[in-house]
Amino acid sequence: MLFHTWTFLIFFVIVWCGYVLLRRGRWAIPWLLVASYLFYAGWRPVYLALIVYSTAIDYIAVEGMARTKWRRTWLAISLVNNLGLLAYFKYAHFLVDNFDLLLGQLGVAYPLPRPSFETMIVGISFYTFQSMSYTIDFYRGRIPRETSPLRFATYVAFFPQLIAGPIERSEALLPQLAVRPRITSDHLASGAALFLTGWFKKVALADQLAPVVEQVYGNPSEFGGWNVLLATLAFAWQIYFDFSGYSDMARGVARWLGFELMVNFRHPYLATSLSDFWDRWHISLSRWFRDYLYIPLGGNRVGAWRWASNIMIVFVVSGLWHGPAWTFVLWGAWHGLGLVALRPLERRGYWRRVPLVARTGLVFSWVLFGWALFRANSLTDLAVLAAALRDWSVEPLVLPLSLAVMVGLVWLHQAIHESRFVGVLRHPLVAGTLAILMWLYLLLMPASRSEAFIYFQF
Amino acid sequence: MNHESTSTTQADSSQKSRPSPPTLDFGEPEWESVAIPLHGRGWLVVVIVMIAVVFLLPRLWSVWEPFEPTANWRTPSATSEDYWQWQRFQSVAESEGQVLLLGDSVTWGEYARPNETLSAELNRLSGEATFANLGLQGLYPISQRELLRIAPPQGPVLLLFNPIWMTSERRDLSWDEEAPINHTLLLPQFDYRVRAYQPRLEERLSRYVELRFEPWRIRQHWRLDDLEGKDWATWNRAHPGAWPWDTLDRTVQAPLDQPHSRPMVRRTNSPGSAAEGSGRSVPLSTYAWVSPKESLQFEAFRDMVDDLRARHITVAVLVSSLSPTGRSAECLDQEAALRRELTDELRLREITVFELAVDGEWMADASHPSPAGYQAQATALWSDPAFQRWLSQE
Repeated sequence: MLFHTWTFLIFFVIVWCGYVLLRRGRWAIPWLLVASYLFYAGWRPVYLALIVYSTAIDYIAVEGMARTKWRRTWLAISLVNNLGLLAYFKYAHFLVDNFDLLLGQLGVAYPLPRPSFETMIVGISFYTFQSMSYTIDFYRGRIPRETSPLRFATYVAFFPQLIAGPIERSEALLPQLAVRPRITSDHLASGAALFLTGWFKKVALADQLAPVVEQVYGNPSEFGGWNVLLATLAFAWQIYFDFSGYSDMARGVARWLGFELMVNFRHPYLATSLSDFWDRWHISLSRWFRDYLYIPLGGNRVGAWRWASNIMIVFVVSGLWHGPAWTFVLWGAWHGLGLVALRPLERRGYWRRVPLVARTGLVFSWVLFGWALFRANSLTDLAVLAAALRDWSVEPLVLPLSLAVMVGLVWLHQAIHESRFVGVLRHPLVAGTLAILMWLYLLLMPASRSEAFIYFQF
Repeated sequence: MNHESTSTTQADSSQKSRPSPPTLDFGEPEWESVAIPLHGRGWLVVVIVMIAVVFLLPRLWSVWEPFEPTANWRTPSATSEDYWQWQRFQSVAESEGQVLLLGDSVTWGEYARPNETLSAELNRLSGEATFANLGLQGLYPISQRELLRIAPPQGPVLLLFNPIWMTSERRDLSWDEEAPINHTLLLPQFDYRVRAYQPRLEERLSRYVELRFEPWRIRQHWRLDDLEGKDWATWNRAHPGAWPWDTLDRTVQAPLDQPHSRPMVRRTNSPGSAAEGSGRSVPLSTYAWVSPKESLQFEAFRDMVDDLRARHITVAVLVSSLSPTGRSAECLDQEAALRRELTDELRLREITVFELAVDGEWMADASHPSPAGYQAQATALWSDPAFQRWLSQE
């Protein structure tokens, strides 16, 4: 059930009306939980078994930590269970394939049995991380035990952010579920604004860019340098519009219910350093890795080599989190390498002497190259794409002019948003005109069918 | 990842001093990364403007793109799913007092030029443009009913029923396997059980709304009339330098002055005998008829007639004929019995029914007349006193 569908509209109207009626009573949380489970079952009812199981284990683990002395054991049970589920349901094929390849190289021809399932479970990476943050935070003493299993289950499965985040922290969402904030007109206004923005990003921009990207990345051998560059640029914006569009819609839907979800994107392509980029891109995930992997590894309170290896570990794992493919690992490593390489420059102040536009351009170029690694269908395709960069002969360009202009305007809008002229954008006339133009576009111009969100596959 | 580690108190401390729940200070709604920071009143204005746009768009588009159909106009084949334009054509025909001839490709004239169709031949006989050809290719009776629900006619209507839709469960759409279906947007999404149509709920909902929301019918009109049947994004990729306004040419696609299909190889014209035209023996064909009581298409047709009568529209039904060529005698008998049954049922409802004459010589294929066939059928119909009486009544 995608947010921008009629099915979701009907589902949400029913859920919203029910929630408004029940908000102050004891049935509000069961109502939200049933809605969330129904929402999730919309993909495949059998998925529910896994989320219920995962929720139950983590709830029991925290109960165990609170009531027994074996806190570390219970944490280990929770971590092994969550990471085990991820490893099995997300990486089993990848592990078996690579192990077979390795054995083949060693001359051992005994292929391992392949797992029986073929599809990945939607949202598993997101809710597993969200659930894990609860057990780890409780173990660290940062949060109290959640006394209501239903509330905890709702926290894990809260439908606006269940499938593709933002990955919420228990300390932010559980108290809201306990209090169930009043729904104000500001919630409705800002929720509508967020939803419309996200819908526009997805349908008017991401979905229009997707075929351009697929055209080149689907057949990289047929294109030369210019089109590879254009398609990579298109992908950079496609993935941003797609994912941040989903996050905006998720936050808008949550706000209509009175809940506040964290900001997940903050104009990432205006970042002036790579660390700045990671403070702006998929913020909920980068903070998760910061708090639960980077800092436990020692963070930056260690020597230079150890710090560099910590960064590389975090980013390679982060790449792998996106999917079981070497291209994702390379993408993570590329970003890790960038952070390690730029660190001395940033520390000595050279970086700040570079003009802002040039810094932004350099960071964007680094990120852009990373997207080529991320989007390539395989390592073989990556080699073909690299070879295409040797041919810069003139060829028909694949990116429509009107689309390029729209993307350019978005970039300009974001730049103004971060400048001292932001007041212009906040003027009701400008904001209202923008809203009407977005509506008109969505009314008359969208593609015949909308694609699923990219991050659903992660 | 340049954040310093905060104090990550280890677990055991929490045993001693249980942390208190975080306070609930969500502050002002955060407008970061929101392109449209509007509050309630701003949204109200946006909603009012959008309602005005939705209301005005069809009127403005009609003014911007004038439509003056020529004599014997028919919907161009390429735009047969342009229901907004079809509705405009219907309105123009009604404003000129014409009788609307509704139906599928038999009405439309698959093997005929626009000036050779049934309505054109009737116009020739009447000496003026009395009839308008509102047929659409591949239109099931069940889809016709849905079309008339969104565009209810105001004037007299001649509804053509083509028995071809009852020659098998597959054509009747009453078999259980999914198959490609024409005019899917016009299929009833919720009030009939069309067993051959099994889309997801989302598809049903979106088709239901798309058909009823006029700006989206205009969007479809724009796609079919100006964008080669593609959506803007797909069309724009093939024309990367174009802007949306470049496509608005202020003209409506006109029908081609040629038949849509060429007749198949002629076979023998004697009913009930094997084909000879190909020079080799062709086995006699038969049909797996669906009875009127079980036929989904006939049920929808009956309901459509009832709808029109409930709206006090003058209606008559034309029952077309199938070619007798190459069919077994048993099959012909079955057809005759079926035609009796369905015409009787319509007459029981006090509907005027005319059966179109048939001869193997007049047919271009199993159900479509050739231009000569239309001429003969129109002549027979025109000379029928009952038809003249019906015409004078309307």
